[in-house]
Amino acid sequence: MRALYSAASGMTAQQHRLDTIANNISNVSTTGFKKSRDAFQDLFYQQLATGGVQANTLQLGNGVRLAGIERDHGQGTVVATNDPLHVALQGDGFFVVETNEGERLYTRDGQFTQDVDGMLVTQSGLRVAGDIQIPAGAASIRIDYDGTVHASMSDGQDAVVGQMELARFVNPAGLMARGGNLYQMSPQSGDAAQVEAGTEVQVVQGFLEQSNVDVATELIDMIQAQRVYELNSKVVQAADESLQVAVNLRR
Amino acid sequence: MSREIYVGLSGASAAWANYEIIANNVANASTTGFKATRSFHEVVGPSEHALGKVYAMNRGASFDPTDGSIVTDNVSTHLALRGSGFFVVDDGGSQLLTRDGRFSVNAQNLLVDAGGRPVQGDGGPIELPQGEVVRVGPDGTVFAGDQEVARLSVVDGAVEQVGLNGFRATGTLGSASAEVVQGALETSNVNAVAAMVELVQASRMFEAHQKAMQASDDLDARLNRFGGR
Repeated sequence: MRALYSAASGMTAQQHRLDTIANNISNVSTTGFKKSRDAFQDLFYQQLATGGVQANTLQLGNGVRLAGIERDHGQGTVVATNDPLHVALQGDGFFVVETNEGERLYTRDGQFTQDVDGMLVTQSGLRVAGDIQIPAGAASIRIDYDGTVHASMSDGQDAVVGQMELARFVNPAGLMARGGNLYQMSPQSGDAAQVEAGTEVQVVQGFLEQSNVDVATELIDMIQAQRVYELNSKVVQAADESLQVAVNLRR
Repeated sequence: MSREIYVGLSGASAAWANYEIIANNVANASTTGFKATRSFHEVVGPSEHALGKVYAMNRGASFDPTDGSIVTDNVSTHLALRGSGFFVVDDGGSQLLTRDGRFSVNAQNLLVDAGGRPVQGDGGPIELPQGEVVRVGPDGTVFAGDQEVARLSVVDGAVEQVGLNGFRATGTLGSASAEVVQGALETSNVNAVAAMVELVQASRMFEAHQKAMQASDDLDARLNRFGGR
């Protein structure tokens, strides 16, 4: 019966792969989205002694399992929007945002705006760490590569209103996705470390980082997942037919 | 009663073992660095021991060592091996070999595999300084920025599959001729077309042995009728 279970594990694995691909494709237009990939491992092998002249062993595998889902933090394309509060990160790092409870979360989505108090916030209203308040009556906003925000007042004065906090992780793939383009620190990611803003990573004003999903690759992966699923189902079918033949031995 | 029915049974059992092997191969068609299992059969007898009959037996199974295709994904810690050889990871004190180069850097700055096991270099675990660009040469030399930080252990020798993309040495290991490719992964070497052909073959083999068992049963039934007349 092992053949049936092994093939079934293969079908489950491909089903999961399709789920991951579907999530990637549905986020192809999500600012700062990072694609995921399933990582598979074979299962333990059973050793059957077969005796004979040479002491051979017959190794029978037990199928496949999902070892993990790996997030690819590769850079997405940066495109111009010309909104002065839109920023993109070029390089390895994250914007830091704070929830109302003071929890620090991390994002690559720099589609910022201002709330009623003039605070710099994300689209969902979370404050960008660094307490950046844009004064009422500011004529224009300038953001440096290191995340420093300048406001030009209507009287021609230029004032520094804050600096965006940036963070980086030893293992960004270990960050926990919280949805809403946000990530949370985890033991796997390591602690948030300081970034030399402006050199290691640059804040680019008037641009947004696109999703790093490549639709063509996803579609090819999808076709492959479907075919492998089908292949596994054929094994189930063939093994089942043979079992039926065996059962019909006794007429 | 005749014993021919057992000859058929031995063949049907061998065919069933093939199903199990094919099922495991096909289930791992998307497993990075997986090597397909190939089984081989042997005929046993005729001899006194084998009751004068010829039986089929699964004598063993070994894996197909040919390379899978190397697919570029440009993740700097993903490594593939071109040619014969294995990466070495530390599995709680014992050495485990793998062709799955889906590596990443963990929270302790160590290069680890997908299961979190530290990848071994010639001088033990490989520590990568934070914030440096990692470059890996074809000979396994690891650079962080301009600094050479380690050299990957890549070994070769007689091995067996142990699961979780791991292999274990069954003899002494030597240095490998394999070349390390950075920013790429080796796909499973399972060939879908070959697997389908093997599947068809296994069903036909099973069917043929079932026919033999049925024929033997028919003969015995006739013999019984003859005896009862």
